[in-house]
Amino acid sequence: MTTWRWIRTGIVAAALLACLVAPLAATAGQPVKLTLWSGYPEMKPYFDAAAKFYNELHPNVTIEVSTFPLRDIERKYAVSLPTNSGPDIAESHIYIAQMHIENGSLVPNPPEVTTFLKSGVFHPLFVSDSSWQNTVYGVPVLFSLDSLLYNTQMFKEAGLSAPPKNWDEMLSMGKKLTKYDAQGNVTRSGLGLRLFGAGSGVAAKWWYFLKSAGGDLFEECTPKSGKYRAAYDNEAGRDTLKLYIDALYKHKIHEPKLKQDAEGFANQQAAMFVRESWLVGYMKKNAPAVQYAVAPLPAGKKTNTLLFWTNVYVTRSSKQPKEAWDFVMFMANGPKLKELEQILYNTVGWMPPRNDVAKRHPNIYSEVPQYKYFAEVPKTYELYAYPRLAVTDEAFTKLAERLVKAYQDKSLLDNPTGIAKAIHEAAEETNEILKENKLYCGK
Amino acid sequence: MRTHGLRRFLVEDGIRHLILAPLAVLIVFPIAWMVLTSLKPSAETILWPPKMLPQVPTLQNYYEVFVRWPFLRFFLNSLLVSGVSTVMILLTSSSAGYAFAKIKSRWLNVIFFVFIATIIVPFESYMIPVYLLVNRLGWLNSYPGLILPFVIMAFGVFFMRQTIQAIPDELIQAARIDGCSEFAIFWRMILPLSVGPLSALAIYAFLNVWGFFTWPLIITTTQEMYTTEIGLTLFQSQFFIEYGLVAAGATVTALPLLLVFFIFQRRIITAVTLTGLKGT
Amino acid sequence: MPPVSPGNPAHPCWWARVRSQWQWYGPQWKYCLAVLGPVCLAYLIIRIIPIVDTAWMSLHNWSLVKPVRPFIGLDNYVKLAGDPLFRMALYNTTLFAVVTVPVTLVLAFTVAVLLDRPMRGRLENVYKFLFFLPVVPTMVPVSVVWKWIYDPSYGILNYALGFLGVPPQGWLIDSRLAIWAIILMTVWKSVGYYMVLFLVGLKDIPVDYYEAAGIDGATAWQRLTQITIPLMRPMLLFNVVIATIFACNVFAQVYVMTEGPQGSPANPVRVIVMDMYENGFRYLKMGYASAEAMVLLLIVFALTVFEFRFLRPKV
Repeated sequence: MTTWRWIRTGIVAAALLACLVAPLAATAGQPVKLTLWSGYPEMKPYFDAAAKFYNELHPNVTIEVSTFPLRDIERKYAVSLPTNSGPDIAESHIYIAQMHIENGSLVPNPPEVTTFLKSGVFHPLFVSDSSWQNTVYGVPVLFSLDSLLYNTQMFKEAGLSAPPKNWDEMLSMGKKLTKYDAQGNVTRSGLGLRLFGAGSGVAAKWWYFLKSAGGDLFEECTPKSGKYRAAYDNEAGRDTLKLYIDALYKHKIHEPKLKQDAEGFANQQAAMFVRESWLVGYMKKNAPAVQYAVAPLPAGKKTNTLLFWTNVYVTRSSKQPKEAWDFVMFMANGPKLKELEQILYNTVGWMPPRNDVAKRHPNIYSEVPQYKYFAEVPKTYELYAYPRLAVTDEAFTKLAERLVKAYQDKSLLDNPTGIAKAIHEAAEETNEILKENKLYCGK
Repeated sequence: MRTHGLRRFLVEDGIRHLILAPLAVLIVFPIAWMVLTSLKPSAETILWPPKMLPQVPTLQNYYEVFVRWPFLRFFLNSLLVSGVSTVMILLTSSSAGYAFAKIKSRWLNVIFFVFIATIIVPFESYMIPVYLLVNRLGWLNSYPGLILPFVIMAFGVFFMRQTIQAIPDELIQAARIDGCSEFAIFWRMILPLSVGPLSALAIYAFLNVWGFFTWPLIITTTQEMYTTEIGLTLFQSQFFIEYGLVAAGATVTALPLLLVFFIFQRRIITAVTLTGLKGT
Repeated sequence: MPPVSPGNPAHPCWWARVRSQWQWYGPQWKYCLAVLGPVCLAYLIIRIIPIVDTAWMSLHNWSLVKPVRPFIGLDNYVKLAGDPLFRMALYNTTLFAVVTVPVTLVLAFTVAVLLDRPMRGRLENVYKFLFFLPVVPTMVPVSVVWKWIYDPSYGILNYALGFLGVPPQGWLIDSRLAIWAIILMTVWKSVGYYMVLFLVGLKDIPVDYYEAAGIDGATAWQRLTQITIPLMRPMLLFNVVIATIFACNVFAQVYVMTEGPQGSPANPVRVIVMDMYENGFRYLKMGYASAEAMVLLLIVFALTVFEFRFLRPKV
């Protein structure tokens, strides 16, 4: 019993001591400390290096980098940004940032930063889509186009010499590339498709094909009206759903039970799939032996692809906005630009967003040919960005759930009425979301 | 004599082993799998067909866990927060539990049911007001802020009340008549009698606070205040999971709890009981 | 000592009754105040007031990112009633609770009863340790490991079942199997937890009772049903209530299992707290999520009251 008493007293004493020490422990640090949060853990090497280089130039400034999985950082942003208890610098992609921009939690760019952005160093889409009410927010830090990755070895074996250029070729080549076992089950997918996983991913991936088919998630009823409606309750939407259903049940070129997405491609369980350039970093680290190449996204009725990027923003929580902006500009246009871009190319996989990278890295596309079509596409391609509305996340997420259900519904095969019904109900839900947020404009 | 012993063994222990052994194997298997995975290099975690034992056992994962992030600091933070919370929970639960169990009053019953009602509501639902309060107190990203929601545990109060109720009233009445103050009764008599339940509660309180993810996630803003649970999510990238690292991290974080369980296990199972003076 | 009445209930003035209660309970009230004073204050600050706050938020169109938060009365609740996602969450949570609670408790009770009496070589301690092992690691990394075990192409479960001739299943990705997979994992993790609680309760049953029954010629089954279970009622009630509350509040494992491209689809495993989290922290509709929390509170409260009535220990 006495041992128990001793343990107890010891713990209580330690606890009281800790409570005294605590306020001191939390405030140790350098004169200027900036915090940077990112929802992209693979970017840690880049931000760490930037922080290190900056500290060499400004020894009194340290930058603490924290990266979280995207789902968790959304939560942190949701709670901390509106209450001004967030980081100095926040990395985010557009439609998540939009909510916080509208709420005033993110600081507009100082004039010199905006001038820099509009100086021609960036594709105009970066600037126009980072603007809200004629003010520009954020500085791009990474980007990639969405393109098709394909396993060159598998293509050679199947006797295919070039990647597919359109949907028909995509399906027929996919069929040739699929391997089956004795019972007719797919053991290797010809075309990898995103079929499940909570969140908006399923819908976002469906949406690229929707755009190729000529549809979109939202459309503005009249230009500049600020009112929208769902834009996929039409032939484009039905065709895109039909593409998936046919791929799954008619041609049987994808199997849900195999490893999905990047892991599937790395394990050579998929011959083709659509993703962004971070795959290059991933494949280099996890499956260096796999031979693969990259081609522009196969065209549907329209020839286009997504320009994906993220911005770094300075937040209203920052008590040192001047230093924060200085660091942001250091990353975007500082003396160590070449080294930082090198880290992106070599380790991370995401690509530097400036369009003058050829000056500093003239041989990058011959050294790593896979980057080429993640960075450029033929002139025939139109580039678009994610919808910028704050309700995009909700719309995508709810649509994703409906799509997941539809993909598991075998009865939709050769069933135009069924497909039309599924699409129509999904579009109704999207319109409901718009109505709830007073963004709907009617039929 | 020997035959008798063998038959007794078969009848008493044998049947029990027959039922319990396969269950135990099934129950432990995933844990064993987790620990073995933590010793496998990254390439082996995706082997097919899967192999139970690592071909090339390595401590690389453990090394990375402590090197990539300041995991030791996370660990110490978790220890501190969980330790202090547990002590506070033990104190508040047992003292309040005694009041609810042995002091008869309608008011106390009402208060008790209000406490119980708070168990029902998941913390996630009222987390925001608590966050706003902590923000106003200036306790964001600090130990007091991390510990604040966990100084009490309604589950603990409920549990201690149920177990203290089993202590015979006569003992307490005798002590009261002898002139002992309630404090003395509590400290000298109730606590020692409740070592078993208190040990069980200590384990549960520690587990509960240690494993809590959502609160530390939103309350901390700098890395030096992260707890191990946050540290473990840092190993999960958006697109893939490094199973070896997660398994190593999980094993490391499970160790203190195992230690706590070891220390208290004997106390739980050898709780002092009073024969002959039992009430329900 | 002459019996002192704790105040005449028929006395017309209530303050006199309170005062006489005070006189009777004098020294005890000092303890109550000293102990319950701070504890109640703590509860008030970090539980009661935030919960009331949440109830208040549920009556508004409350969002962290919108400065205007109009009062909308019971609109959120009306919307909830018509929300198919909420109905799905209700169904899934109910299914989850109805299966997990009895299965876990029956298993835990069986194991506890079997381990109550010592074994040769103190083996019962080994078993207790082993059964408690799943409780120790925290839910998040354990869910990740289980996600791995359930993997359709690389998971050990499909591999093991393959020997029994079962074709590989998509445990988490198949809409029909996903919730059962999570139920299985939850039962696995919780059995040890309740086993320890039952063991604590079993220890309080005096050996004399069993010996007396043994002398009377009772069988093991009779001992179980006539002595053990009736005397365990308080602990049984406690465990049932706690298990129900935890089951209705399930979140962490669902959150982890649905994450990522290999994750389970959300709707088949959508539970109430998951839906609340999505509404509150992803769409930032705090008012709506708060209404959900209130509804959950009412449901679980009703269940708890029912359980108290049903399982109230008889004297």
